[in-house]
Amino acid sequence: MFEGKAYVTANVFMAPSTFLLKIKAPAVSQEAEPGQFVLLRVSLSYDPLLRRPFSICRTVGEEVEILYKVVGRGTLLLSEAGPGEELEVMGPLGRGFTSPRGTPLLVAGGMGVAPLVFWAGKLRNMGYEPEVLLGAATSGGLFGRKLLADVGVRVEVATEDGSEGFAGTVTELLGRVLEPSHHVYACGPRGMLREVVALTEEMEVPCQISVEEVMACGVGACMGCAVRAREGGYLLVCKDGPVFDGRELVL
Amino acid sequence: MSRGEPNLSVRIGPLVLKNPVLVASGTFGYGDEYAPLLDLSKLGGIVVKSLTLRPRDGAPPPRLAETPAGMLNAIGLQNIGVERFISEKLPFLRGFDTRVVVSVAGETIEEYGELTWRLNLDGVDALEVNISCPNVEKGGMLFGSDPDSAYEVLSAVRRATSKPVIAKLTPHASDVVKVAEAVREAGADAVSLINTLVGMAVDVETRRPKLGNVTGGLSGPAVRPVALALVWKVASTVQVPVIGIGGISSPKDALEFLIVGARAVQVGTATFFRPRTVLKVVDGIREYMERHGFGSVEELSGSLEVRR
Repeated sequence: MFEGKAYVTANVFMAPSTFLLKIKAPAVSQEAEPGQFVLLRVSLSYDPLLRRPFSICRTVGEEVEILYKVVGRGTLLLSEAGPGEELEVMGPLGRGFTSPRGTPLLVAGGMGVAPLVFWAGKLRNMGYEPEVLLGAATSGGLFGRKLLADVGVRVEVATEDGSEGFAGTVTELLGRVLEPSHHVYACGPRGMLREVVALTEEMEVPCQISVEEVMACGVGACMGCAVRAREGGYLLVCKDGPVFDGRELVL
Repeated sequence: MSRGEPNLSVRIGPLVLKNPVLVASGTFGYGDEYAPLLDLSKLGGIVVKSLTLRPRDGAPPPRLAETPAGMLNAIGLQNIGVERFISEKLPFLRGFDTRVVVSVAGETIEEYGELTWRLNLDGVDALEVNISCPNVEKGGMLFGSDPDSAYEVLSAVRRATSKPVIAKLTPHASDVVKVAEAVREAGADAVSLINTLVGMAVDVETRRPKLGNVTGGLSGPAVRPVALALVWKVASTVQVPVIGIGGISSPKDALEFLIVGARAVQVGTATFFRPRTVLKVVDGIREYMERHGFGSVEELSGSLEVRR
């Protein structure tokens, strides 16, 4: 695990309030596995205080790419970081995706596409032909499509307003295409993950999900990023996840 | 003025630390989480996450909320329990040249005594008695808010061990000095303060509290002036070694606590946003002592010059 400075090489505008940050962090890039995350310190002041967790979207040579949306002060500050700016980075952290037992079917909701881009690329390298279902509220939210196209995977899109592709949610689309031979990997809002897990359980299809939670330490020390476990008690997103078996959690 | 290499070792009652900087309970897990990032043998001591007799699941999420220059937490003392700590974590911690301070938390006075008894083991260098956790329904801060109950708890701990005992105090006692006096009378070798301040945050869009537990404990740079004043007050009125805690994020912050009378300090929340802060604090204290000609931490401790 690396902890130290990394330089911003680019901060690419992808869609309104959505950016692809590229940082030069060879130690992170070399070690990173799809589904893992990094903690970024977006400001050297005490406000905001904590580092922010981000899924690794892609690694290209010595660079690590992070897809993010401006949702608060931390990400707003991050969006202002230009080339050459120094950030403190820690990672790669957490447990990533594991190999499929079947045809990989990736289900992404909005920003949830981020870790799945990395995983789709790795699956291709492993000789799989992953299919991707990408959902958003409107066609403007389908910014992940280009990243997935770069990886060379087949993408089917769903928009809730019907402006492009399947008209409806990505889970409704999943309900139509899901087959017993699939192995589902999903990332997106909690409500979406809940539906994906329900669908896959019904058909007894294996399913891994990547979840988010407010985080402080990133290494399992503070026990802040707890998620409820079906077996009782809690699991930690930073250490036990962020990728979990769909049947492990109460979502 | 310099008298060569300053002596960073410090005595907290019977406990001798190689330097006056520890990591605070609840911010460093059981040590193994941060071992890949920093050499634990460089720390004066590690105060592990509070242990209870039986494992505890902790509080419902969300457990964290960021606030201006601080954070709220309501972990609810999630921990693996004393038995698993002894079998799974203590052997690892014993591999480092640092002091292992085990934090104990009970729901009853008897539980504190029993926990302490279980920890009369090689490798446990001292106990920190958590009578100040704000996130549990029973025990915790309730014991530490009142001198009489604080006395009872520390007496129970004192009866169960001859190891050094530190009482961790809450800033919410109506008179922290009285609580410090009470625990000293009960046999505590030192006090550490402050634990977190009770705080709250609300998401106005959903009108829900940001923490699953509704309220939580505030920590980080935001609490430092409050902590400093309380440490100064206790250190200058009670004959007991004080360990200063509260938002320490730099050598200068730590020096403030030492100057007002703390014998040692604990770094907590800063570890989250800069994991090696604690090492920087050790180096910074050494550099300051050289520059100002302090030969020992004891000399520096309480060197505040008050002009009234």
